[in-house]
Amino acid sequence: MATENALRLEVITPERTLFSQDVVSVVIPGALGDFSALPGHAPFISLLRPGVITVLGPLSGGTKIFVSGGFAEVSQKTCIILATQAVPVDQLDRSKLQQQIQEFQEDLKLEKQSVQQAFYEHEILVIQAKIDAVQQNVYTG
Amino acid sequence: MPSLKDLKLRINSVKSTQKITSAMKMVSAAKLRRAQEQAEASRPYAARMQQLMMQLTKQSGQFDDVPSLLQGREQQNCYLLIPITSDRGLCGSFNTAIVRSTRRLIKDLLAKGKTVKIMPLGRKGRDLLRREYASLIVDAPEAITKTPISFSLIEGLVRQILHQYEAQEFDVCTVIYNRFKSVISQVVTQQDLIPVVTDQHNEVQDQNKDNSGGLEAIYEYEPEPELLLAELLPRNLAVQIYGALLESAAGEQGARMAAMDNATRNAGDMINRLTVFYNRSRQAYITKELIEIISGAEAI
Repeated sequence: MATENALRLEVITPERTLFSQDVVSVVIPGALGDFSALPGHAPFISLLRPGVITVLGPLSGGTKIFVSGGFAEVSQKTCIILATQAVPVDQLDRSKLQQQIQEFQEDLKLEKQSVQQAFYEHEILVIQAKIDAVQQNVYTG
Repeated sequence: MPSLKDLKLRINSVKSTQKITSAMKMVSAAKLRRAQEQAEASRPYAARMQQLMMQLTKQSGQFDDVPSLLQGREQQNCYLLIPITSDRGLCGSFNTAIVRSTRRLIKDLLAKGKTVKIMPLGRKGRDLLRREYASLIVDAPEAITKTPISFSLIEGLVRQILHQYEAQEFDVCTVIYNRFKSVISQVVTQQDLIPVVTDQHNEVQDQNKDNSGGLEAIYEYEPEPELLLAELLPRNLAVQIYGALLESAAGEQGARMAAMDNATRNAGDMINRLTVFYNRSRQAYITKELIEIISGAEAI
């Protein structure tokens, strides 16, 4: 594939660089709706919501990475995703997640401070999104 | 004069101390490598974040209302200081350097009539500062400095800090930490977190200029830049603290390595000196006994 036709995708979390490869296209869960980025995309910065990035590589089809929110910066040749948390979908474990969500829900009930409540609510949302991601992955293979 | 047996014991005890210090040096060397790797891995995120911040702050002139996290409050009466130290000692002047400069800063601020609050991260700093300024310490979270440093814990901390900021409990937030310059040198660095200082990262900026391809391009934003910035600022705070903690962790191991290297060398010197002294005493003792035997024989 000619290099000018490739899109450099980088998925970066504070802890490490998870993914850095040339890809054909990538579907990104933007805060206001999903969008897909191809080489030559107009410069664009978007907020992300918790969801799944679907990567189409030149050789591999449909690598899925879960992101818990963050930012995406798309330019003609690069797409940089700054995620707070990023995990490949096939590494997520559904039963563990369900357990986590229950724990958080119990914590939420006990918590009285509104800051903490907001935090738990957000965390539950993220885990729910993770579960959804796993489920979808099962259906679509 | 100590007896020969005492000397022998002394030499042995110094020898075992030397073994401990040289083992600690090895351990720190291994930990240092890991800490450096972690710091290295966090850099791309921080650099990109900085870049995004700059992009957005450039536009902030057009905003109706610039977030106070960026601009700072009009009245800066209360300062929150976050000195970052280690949990463990035996690392030379690593912690005392931080505490010393924190103390100086506190004195300056108090002299100017400001209110000061301290939130020490790391047990050593907390203990040292508590002696003098126990009343100023508002909180001292413990788990944060445990290795491996976790980003999610820091996010929790940042939530608390922001909550306090919004409740007008402080106006300026400064972090004081040891920046890792090289294995043998750590530089005490003061960095303002609130309000955000955007042009402090000159290195990062220069770096970005090199590979800036599309940087000058006009970006479209979704949602509006104002909202994006509002999301970005708290995250930036977490990234800054995370970076400072990682630098400090690497610095701690470096400082400990240097300190233990010194200790090992000192122990070696001491062993040499004691061995010479031991041999001399032994000889003197033998000579003395011989003289006693000979003079005894002569007397008969």
